[in-house]
This record gives sequence, structure tokens and C-alpha cells, in this order.
Amino acid sequence: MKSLSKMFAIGIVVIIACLAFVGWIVLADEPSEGEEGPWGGVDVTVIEHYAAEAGGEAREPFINTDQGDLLLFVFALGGAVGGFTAGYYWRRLITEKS
Amino acid sequence: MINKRTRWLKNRLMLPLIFALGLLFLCPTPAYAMHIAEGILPAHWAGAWYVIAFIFVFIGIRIIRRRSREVKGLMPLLGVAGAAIFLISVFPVPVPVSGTCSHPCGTPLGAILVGPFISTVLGAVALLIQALFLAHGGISTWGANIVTMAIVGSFVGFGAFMLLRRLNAPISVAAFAAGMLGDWATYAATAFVLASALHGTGSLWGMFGIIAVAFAPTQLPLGILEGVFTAAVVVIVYQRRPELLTHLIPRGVKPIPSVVEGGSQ
Repeated sequence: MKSLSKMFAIGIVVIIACLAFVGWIVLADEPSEGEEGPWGGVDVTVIEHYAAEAGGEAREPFINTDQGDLLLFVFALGGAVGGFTAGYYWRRLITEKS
Repeated sequence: MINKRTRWLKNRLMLPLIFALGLLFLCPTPAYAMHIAEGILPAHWAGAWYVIAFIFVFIGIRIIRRRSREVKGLMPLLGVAGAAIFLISVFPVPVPVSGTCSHPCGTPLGAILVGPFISTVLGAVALLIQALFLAHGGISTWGANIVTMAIVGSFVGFGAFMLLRRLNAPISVAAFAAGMLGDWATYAATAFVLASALHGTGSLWGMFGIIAVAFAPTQLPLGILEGVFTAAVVVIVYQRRPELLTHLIPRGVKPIPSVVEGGSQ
């Protein structure tokens, strides 16, 4: 009985993943290039696109870090601080059992 | 001692903080944003999502305070989960075939590691930092983004994980499904939030369908990727520190057998 439910659960997950893969291939018939060009962020190409169509234009954020290399800097800084924090606590979690 | 220090920090930091926040609100500057960007939602919708988000975050904070007294080793787990959610949710992944980039959520992983309410709080903090400094999301849409990414991602991921574990699925399969379904649910919720606020006189579900289908080519493979990543992390934690996951099982649910036996799958 247990192995039957286990097989059922695994089967459901595999079927969903396979359908998603097929759906991806079927729906992505052509690359969607928005104003940002290829590899544009989906939050801009989808969310802002449909919001603008419905009259909900995006407003400027309160802190503008999207100027020159400033955005690159804050992303690198965020990645470094986040990566250090994750690594530090991961080491404490995995290696320091006490 | 802690109270004294807190009071000192409050006195020293409150005024500059209020001043800085005032400046931020008075001097907006142009930039493009991701998630649900600043100003997209009408004020009443933004407020409604704030109320829902506040309830979940409030409960999450109370659970953190209680659990931190009861559970040893919670802080490193919170640190890993918080940093992971922050990093994963700003990590743009290019998706071949569709030719666009998107980011996973990280909240399903967080929910498995620390529980859905705590994961909601961690997601809310990550979204606030992203909205303030990384031009991702916005302050007015913070509540809506908390609902879609932090609440829906956490609860759908956690629910899928628990359901599949109760069906005796291996932990790797359950974690994979949690990551995958949590990711898709987050973007489905984003489509609903947008559609509910912007459908106007048109059909709510019609607009929801259009936005959801537009997300699909990018988000379907990304959900699978998030599932793989979630499964990898959960399995490593489970193999190395199985006891860390036992206390996360809700009351009334049987412990995961392989955790009790100390085995790995």
C-alpha cells in the first residue's frame, strides 16, 4: 500500500514536470523581444507590458540605482553580502553540530 | 542589558532613519523596476494586499520569537534561508527558446527549512531590500509582492511538500515538487494580482489567463529548475542534519519516518 502511494506520488510529479516541459516548447514558438531586446526580464516584458496596456504605468522607484554602473555595484554588493551570509550560516549549520 | 541596548539604538537611529526615509519619499528618481513595480497597482488594491501581507508577517514574527526560545540552531537556519531567498529571488536566469530572463522565488525552499510563516517574514525582508536598493518591486507594491512571492510561494511549496511526504514520496521528489509548484503558484498569483487590479470592465479571468500564458514560456522551465535546486538543498540538509527538519513538522502530523530513522533518500 505504501509503495503504491509512493509510486502514485512520484508518477504525478513526473507527469506534471513532463507536461511543463512540453508546454514550454509549445508556447515558446518565437523569442519574445520587448523594448529591452532579447533576454529582457519577464517582470518588465510581461508585468509592465500588460499593466501599461491596462493603464497602470510603472512609476519611478524611490531610490534610483539604475544609473550607469550603480545597479551593477549594488547587485554585486548584495550578492557578496548575501553569499557571505549564506556561506557563514551554512557552515555553522552543516559542520558545527553542537 | 538587551533592553538598554535596544533603547540606545532606538534613540540614536530613529531620527536619522525617519529623515532618510522622508528624503526618499520626497525625491523619487527614474529607474526601471522588476517584480510588480512601483505605481502599477491602484492605491486601494495596494492597500488591500498590504493588509493581507501584514497579517501573515505579524504571525510569522510571533512564531520566530517563540521558536527562537524553543529551538536550538534556529538562527543559522534562518540565516541560510533568509540569504538564500534574497539571492535566489534577484538571480536572473536566461531561458533558452523563449529568449527572456526571469528569477526563481526561493520561498518554497525557505518554507521547507523554517516553515511557511517564518519564510513569509524572510521573503518580506528580502523584498523590502530589493525594493529599496535594487530597483526590484516597489514600496507601494511591497504588500502585493509579499502576497505573491512570500505567502503564496511559501504556503504552496510547503503544502506540496507535506502532501507528498504523507503519500510516502521520497524527500527529493517532495522537495522538487514543492520548488516547482511554489514557483508556478507565485507567478500565477502575480497574474491574479495584476488582473484583479487592472481588468477594468473586461473579464478578470480573461486577463488572468492572458498574463499567465505570457509568463508560461519563461516560468515553466524555471519552475523545474527551482524544483531541482530546492530538492538538492533539502536533500543535503536532510542527509547532514536530519534533526533540523523534524521540529518543522506541524503538530498532529506524523514525523517523517526516514528522519526518525536517520536515513537518507
